[in-house]
Amino acid sequence: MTMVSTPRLEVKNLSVTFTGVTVLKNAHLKLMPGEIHALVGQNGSGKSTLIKLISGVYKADSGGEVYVDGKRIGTPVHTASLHEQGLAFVHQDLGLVPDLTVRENVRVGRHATFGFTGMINKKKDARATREAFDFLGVDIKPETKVADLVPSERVAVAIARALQERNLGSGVIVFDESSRAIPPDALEEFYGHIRLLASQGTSVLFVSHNLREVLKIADRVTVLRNGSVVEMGAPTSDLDEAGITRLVLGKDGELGDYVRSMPSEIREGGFTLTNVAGGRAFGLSNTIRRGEVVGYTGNVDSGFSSVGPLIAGVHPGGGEIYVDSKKIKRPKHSSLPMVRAGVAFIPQDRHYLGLATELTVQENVTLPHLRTKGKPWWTGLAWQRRETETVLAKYEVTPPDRKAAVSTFSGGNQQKVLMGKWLLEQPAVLILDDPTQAVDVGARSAVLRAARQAAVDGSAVVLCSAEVDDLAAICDRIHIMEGGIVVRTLQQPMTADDILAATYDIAKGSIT
Amino acid sequence: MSNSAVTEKRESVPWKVTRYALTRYSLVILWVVMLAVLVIAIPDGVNPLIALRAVLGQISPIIFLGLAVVITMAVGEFDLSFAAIFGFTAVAIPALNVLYGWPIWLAILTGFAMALVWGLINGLLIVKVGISSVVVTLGTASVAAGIGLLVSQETTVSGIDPLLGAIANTRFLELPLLFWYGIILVAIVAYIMSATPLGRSMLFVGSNPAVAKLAGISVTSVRIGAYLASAALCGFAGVMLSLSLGGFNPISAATNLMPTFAAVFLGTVAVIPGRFNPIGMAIAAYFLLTGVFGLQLLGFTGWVVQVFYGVALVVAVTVSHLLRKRIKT
Repeated sequence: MTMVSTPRLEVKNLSVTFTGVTVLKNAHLKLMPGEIHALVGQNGSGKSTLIKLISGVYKADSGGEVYVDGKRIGTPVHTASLHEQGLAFVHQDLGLVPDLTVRENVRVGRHATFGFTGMINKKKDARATREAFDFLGVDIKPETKVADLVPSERVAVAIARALQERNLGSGVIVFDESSRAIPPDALEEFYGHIRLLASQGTSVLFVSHNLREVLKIADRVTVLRNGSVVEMGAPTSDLDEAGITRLVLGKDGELGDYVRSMPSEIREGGFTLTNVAGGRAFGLSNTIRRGEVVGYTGNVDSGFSSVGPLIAGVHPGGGEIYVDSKKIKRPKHSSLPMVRAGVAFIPQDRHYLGLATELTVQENVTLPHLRTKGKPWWTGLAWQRRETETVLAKYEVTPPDRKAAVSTFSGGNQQKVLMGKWLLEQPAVLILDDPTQAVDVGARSAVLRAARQAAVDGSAVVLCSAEVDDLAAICDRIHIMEGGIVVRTLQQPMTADDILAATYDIAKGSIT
Repeated sequence: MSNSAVTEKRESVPWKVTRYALTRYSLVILWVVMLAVLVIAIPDGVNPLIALRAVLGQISPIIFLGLAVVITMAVGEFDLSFAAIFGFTAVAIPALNVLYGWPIWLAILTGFAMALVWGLINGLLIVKVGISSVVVTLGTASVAAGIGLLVSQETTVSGIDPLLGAIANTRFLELPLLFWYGIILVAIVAYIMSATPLGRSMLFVGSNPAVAKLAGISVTSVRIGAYLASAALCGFAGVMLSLSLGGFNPISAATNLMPTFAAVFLGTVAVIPGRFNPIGMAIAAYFLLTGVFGLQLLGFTGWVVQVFYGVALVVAVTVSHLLRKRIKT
């Protein structure tokens, strides 16, 4: 841009810390009028946090600044006045009530009323609704029920609600993963709306996990990784899918080649899957032998993220699972038989599935081992203290306080505690689901080394991850998924680039 | 992080002990203060030992009901039916024995077994079927109370052999056996909850059931078990109270609801701050009983007691909420 003009939206130095953990560090963002700007990053990279800070849902740490048309609106940002400031948000689920009419959905919170009775003035509301649709050049009758609309019309209703009572071409509209709620055949129309708004001069901030979509419609892109902006406003014309993927996944952290430095010998027994299906994954058949590390990966929609919870028995599914040739019964609502058979699962969602964060480190670490190391009438104190201190020392958890609540630790240290909890006793099978998400560099290599060590010690290890560097560092073999099935397998020796290329080639081939 | 570690190490020993006592046993200190105030305030100059004995020696089911609620609360459940289950057993025993002429042992057995049945109904509907615990236990409470009225023909039934009251009323070290049963049960439940794998399972089921499940704990059994254990304690209280008093008034059971909740929640600020724990509950229960006893000696009756329990409950929950928030950061 050669012309100097005031940015429509500018964010400077926005940070937020939750319970001592910095989730977003000094984020910057700049949108020019009439620009379609994409915000991308992996789950946990901080993109939804950034949006929630701009919309005032979360309170930012002091020092951050948010400007609209050069006027400072925060921090702190007041959610109630966002509409006047010219900021509008369309959320992931569109936020529509299907049972109500289009008019009621659009006008909620701004109903025109009759002065005396305070009753809603339907006529006036209907007129305002029609005006809002004129922006988009669509024609939807205000008295239709939202439930009766086709998906592309629903998107238009959500946009109309966000932009009503606004001068043509002003303001900023934020789409927070909105395209997830839109079926593929309605996407073109959605993109059309966005382009129309931008051509009128409105700025569009487009949050998406779909990099292909971003390249298709965005002018520039800002990339978040581990809570930091790693690329601000790069023109998409300079990027291809591999380039943008590289930016999103990143290459931070010097990971060693643990496959080479920690050789593992293959042993008897292991983890066998026969035609396992569930979630978005199908037909998984594989044998992961004890001593082996096997990876599952793919692009975001490939179904690889269903694999971890599925084979760990957390999500229900079909097919057969064997541990050391012994078939494991899987009741619908219980992963108990899997746990008892020695399957340890490090879930992606550490807070929901991994650790009871308000309890202490010692209580969390020793939980799965009480049955074997304690007696029914006495948990025993000495071993709990000893084993917890071993975990704290081995994984360098800081601070090494076994009686502190888990919630007081940073994300990386929590992940180390979670690993220690399961590796205290050698599991038959160790399944890790995206274990290095939102952890710092040091914790990342600690987690990966521990996973490799488990294989060296005789566990069968499965790593489900989109982090190509993690996969290359510890996996003996990697299965790449697309459309819910395994489409390609890589063996060592392989590099992160090989994995990326394999994933990317396949993705490119499927573009229709 | 390292800074705070250094300052912690430099903390002097007496201050550490003081802080430990203040965070865990401030309720005990408050209790002693309250007793002292009462001794001074009550004009006739009551002997403090006698006052204390009167408080501890009350024939009250609160400790047992408190244990029942601590157990369900600890595993993350909410039970409104405990007072009604207790009342049902306490009413059924004299009614079956006196009105219907059943032998006393059969009446006791039936009364206690019915308490377990109420607990099982709660557990199955809430845990297996998945209905809201508030709705189910509110319903069970009403049904149990209603059937209690039916069985007792809507009157206060008394007339159980007074000699049987000895099982609860006999004095040991100047206090009735009922008090000692309470102490023993509190000790047992406290031991189970803090020192056994079962207790740890309960802790995790209450704190994060998903984590508990992934660690191989049968969350369903722990939850249903909690309702059963809770009902058993209510049944035991029912047996003891009806024998001790020789009969029971079906209406009076519900008056235990507030004091019990107040004791349970106030108990979370003591001994193990931020967690439902039996010893804290027991301390809180006697703290509250002392307060009410004092108020009665000062000539307050009726409305003051209700206000007192209500204030205690809300204050307790507020303090406990703030404690939890502090533990998290």
